Amino acid sequence: MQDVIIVCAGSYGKEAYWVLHENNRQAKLKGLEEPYNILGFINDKLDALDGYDINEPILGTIQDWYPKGDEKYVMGLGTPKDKKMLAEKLMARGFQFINAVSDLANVSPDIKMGIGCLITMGSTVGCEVELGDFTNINGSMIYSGAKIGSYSTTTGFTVVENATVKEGVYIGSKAVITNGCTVGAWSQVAVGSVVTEDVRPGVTVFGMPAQEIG
Amino acid sequence: MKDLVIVCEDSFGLDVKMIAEGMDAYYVKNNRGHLFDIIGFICPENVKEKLQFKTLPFLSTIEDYQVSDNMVFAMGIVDPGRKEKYIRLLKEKNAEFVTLWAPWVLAPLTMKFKEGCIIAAHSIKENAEIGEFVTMFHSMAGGAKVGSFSSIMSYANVTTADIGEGVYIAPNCAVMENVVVGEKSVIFPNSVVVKNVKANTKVSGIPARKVKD
Repeated sequence: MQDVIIVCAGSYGKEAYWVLHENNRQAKLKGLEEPYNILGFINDKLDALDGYDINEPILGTIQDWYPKGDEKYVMGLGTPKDKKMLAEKLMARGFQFINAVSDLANVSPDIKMGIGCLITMGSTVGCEVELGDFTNINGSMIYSGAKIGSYSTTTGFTVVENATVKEGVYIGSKAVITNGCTVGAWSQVAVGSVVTEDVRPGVTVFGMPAQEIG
Repeated sequence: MKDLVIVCEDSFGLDVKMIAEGMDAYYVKNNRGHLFDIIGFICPENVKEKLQFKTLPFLSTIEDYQVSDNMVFAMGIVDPGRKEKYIRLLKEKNAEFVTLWAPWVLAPLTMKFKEGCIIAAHSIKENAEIGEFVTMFHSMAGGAKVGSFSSIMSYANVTTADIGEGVYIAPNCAVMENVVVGEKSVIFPNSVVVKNVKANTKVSGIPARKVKD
């Protein structure tokens, strides 16, 4: 059983918690040892879990926390820029991140995945998909052959066909990235957008078909 | 146990492979033995140079492939027109197509799917009418009628619609109650179809409107 602490107790931190918690429950139902001992969260706001049905505590603040033993960490942040900044800062302090992949996700065994990834229940990740470090696949459909760069985040009902999403991209709910497109690094695809052409780095696109805005 | 050949023109062939593996594993887990040995893929001549997979070997172009006994085919082409074209080509060589369904599909146990379907839909009700060679990939089919050769892609919801033959419904669409979508139409991604769509029409938007050529 692996000791695990979740970094951040916001919405993505809670998603990460439920992935680990549900994986434990699934193991127990099968008569297996629970894989995770969830020690708690670290978060700069110590009351972030007030009112939530989560028993595990906030152990301390992120700014003051250092690894204590063999515990591993799960990244609970969704915004790409913040995720990268925090991941680099914490890894420099010796934090060791692991992937959290829901047993209720449909994930091909032959995907390539970096470290610190989160794949929530309801996601499908097809064959030969490549996920960089600290990617979040949150209730999304990633078709076989797609590539998702480090620190990128896909959200509910996003569909990425056989496309390439570069580093640090945020894809809003129900967006569709169609076959063959490349979404440039650090860009954003707004909710419900349909990307039919390559997206330049660093821009925001919106609409059907998606066009640059702002 | 039969040799399974996947027919594809892009990496959707790997998605079909994943469904086939899941179905085979389900049979093994329920002590019914292996269904298939997935031996590789065949593809159209015009894509063979750019289609390479690490986990699924290339066998031949569709045009050159020699069909043999103890071999079945799974149709991994989603474009309805090309799907039908290559099915007819392979049928001329006496190819037999198999229907694949993902183990998590919620469908009545009595439901019998017609030849060559790829069923990975989230729910299918007992009053659904599904034609031949229909692809339903992570979509909601409910009690819909879906014509042969049609493809309904991820998160599309067609639960009580009447979908004609050869229709392509892109990801995240919704086709509203009792709407009729004419044959060989295309519904673009994220569209919401609230009125009947004539045959051979492309529609897009919320609500979906005819797309100008």
